[in-house]
Amino acid sequence: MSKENNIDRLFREGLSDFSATPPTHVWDAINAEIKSNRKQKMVLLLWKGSAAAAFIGVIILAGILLHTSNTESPKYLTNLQPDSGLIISENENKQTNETGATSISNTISTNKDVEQKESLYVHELQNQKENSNINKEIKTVAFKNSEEYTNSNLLSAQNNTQIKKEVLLKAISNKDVITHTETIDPSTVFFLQNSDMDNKRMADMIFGDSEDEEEIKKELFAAISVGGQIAPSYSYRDGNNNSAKNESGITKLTGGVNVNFKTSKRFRIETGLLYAQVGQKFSNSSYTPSNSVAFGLLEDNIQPAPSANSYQNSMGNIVPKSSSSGKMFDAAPSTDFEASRTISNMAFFRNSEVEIQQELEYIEIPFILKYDIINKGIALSVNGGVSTNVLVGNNAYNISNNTRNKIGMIEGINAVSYSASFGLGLRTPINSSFDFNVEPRFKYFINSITSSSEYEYKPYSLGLLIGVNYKF
Amino acid sequence: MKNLEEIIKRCQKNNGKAQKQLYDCFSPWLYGVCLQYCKDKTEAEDHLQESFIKIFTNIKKYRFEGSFEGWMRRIVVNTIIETFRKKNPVYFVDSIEDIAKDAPEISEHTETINPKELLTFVEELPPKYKLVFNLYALEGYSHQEISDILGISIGTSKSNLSRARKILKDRLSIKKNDSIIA
Repeated sequence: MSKENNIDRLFREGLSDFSATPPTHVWDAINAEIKSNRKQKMVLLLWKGSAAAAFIGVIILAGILLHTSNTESPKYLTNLQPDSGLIISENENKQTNETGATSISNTISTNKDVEQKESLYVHELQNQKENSNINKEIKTVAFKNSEEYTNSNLLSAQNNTQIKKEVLLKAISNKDVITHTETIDPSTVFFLQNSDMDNKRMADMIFGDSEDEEEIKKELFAAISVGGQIAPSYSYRDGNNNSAKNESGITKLTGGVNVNFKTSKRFRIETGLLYAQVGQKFSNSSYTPSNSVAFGLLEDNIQPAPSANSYQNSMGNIVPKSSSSGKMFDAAPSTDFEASRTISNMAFFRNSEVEIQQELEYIEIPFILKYDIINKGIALSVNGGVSTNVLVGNNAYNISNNTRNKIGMIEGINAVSYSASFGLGLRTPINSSFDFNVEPRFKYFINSITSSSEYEYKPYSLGLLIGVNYKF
Repeated sequence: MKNLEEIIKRCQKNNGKAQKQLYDCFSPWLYGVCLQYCKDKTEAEDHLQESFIKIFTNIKKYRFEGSFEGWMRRIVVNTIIETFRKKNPVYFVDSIEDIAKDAPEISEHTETINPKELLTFVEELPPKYKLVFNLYALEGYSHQEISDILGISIGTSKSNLSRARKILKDRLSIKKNDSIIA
């Protein structure tokens, strides 16, 4: 525009600084619109975060389920026994047949396609072999229903080597099959189930008064925070020892103190000291000696009382804690094992729901990196890292009739082990000084915690860490 | 503005307080721009609202390169153009032959005129002339750019500009005569 028009210049210069105050409702509309946009954006981010967390949760659960199905013994019975605790060995078949005692040697497919008989007579069990799709052989059989199977029968059988063949054994069904059942602790349920929380309330917290917003951010990004956490934690194991039978995870409490260092706007490093327990339990049917005979049913078959090495499991041998003791059931009357060959003491074991629980206690020193996906008032983060675990406790307990007696320790557990963990975190300010944290976290031991070459035991745990942090 | 950069940075973090500060600071000026392009206040308010929502939504893209005021003004003008094109897809139909005879050469109107009066003159322009005149005379676009922006020929752009100038010249002449009589 080399030859600038006077009219153009007149209007440009005249209107260049022209201004007029717009009515107030314009800002109200703008403010409402941008708040709405921010809410939608935050809800979208939360949904994305929730979807990511759900995906991780599904992967973890799928991994556990797959792992369980791979490591557990197949779905056929390895032990079948009456509730009374009677264990009948396959090795006894010939003998018991000859003596007329009840003997079971049968194969029952646990294939779901196989139609289960509602009631079976012992003498018919042999015929079942032909009629069922046999996959595996059952060495010993446990029957839930023992109403008709009384101790007097057993005692009589033992004394007279006569057991009535017409013992009615009912309800051999899938329900009676002793299989490993793994229960997922409620703590493993991710916080995502709460993702349907009141969006409005959340949005109000996120988009509070503008005056508060700066303050909240300053608090949120405090450089250092110190806090405590506690968590119900479900632990189990990963291993390749096929001798493990009837094992299941345990739920214990984890807790400790942590220190968080903010390294940047979104990154934090967490360390601290956590007390954590991992372990497992297995039931009496699984700690039978390796020859599959626990306690002799018949006088002729009475086996020696179980030795320290007889409690086979996937973690390691259980040995007496004190070398001077030399007995597994220290807390039990010393005569128990001495008398275990007697009928009365056999009845004690038969009638008790004996479980062995192995517990390892660790002091965990974590080094965890956290990244805030969202950090607006409420912070949603992902985290992952490694931990050094120092063994501080190693115990095995006999749990019988709701009593818990220490019987020894697990042999060959490493003093120091290393684990990896990852999870999600939800952090929200309580007030100007404190944050509330909820962190579902999955922890997996990188190396086997046992030094024995016979065992490879890698515990994992799922925990829901709940805690409060103080911001400096 | 001393704290403008800080306000912009806080707006980039969706800080509500900073957004209000930015609005309070620039809304009168941008409202004035909207009034220059629109036929009435209601339409100007709508454009101002839409423009500020775009400003706040896109402020993260602002890299502190160039004038922030210019960046905001372009958003306002583009918002207006976009609306105009939606409402008037085929609007500019004047022939190129009108250019020569309508092209004004005015030198006498150099006296200072109240901006409100100037605004009134512009507001009274037919929309098609007003838009081209504003883009050419106030925003500094070339006919080629106006042609590209509005999807019209360069000739049509020149024609509309010429018509706008003529109308404005007539209005200014009338005002001058009124002043002399008074």
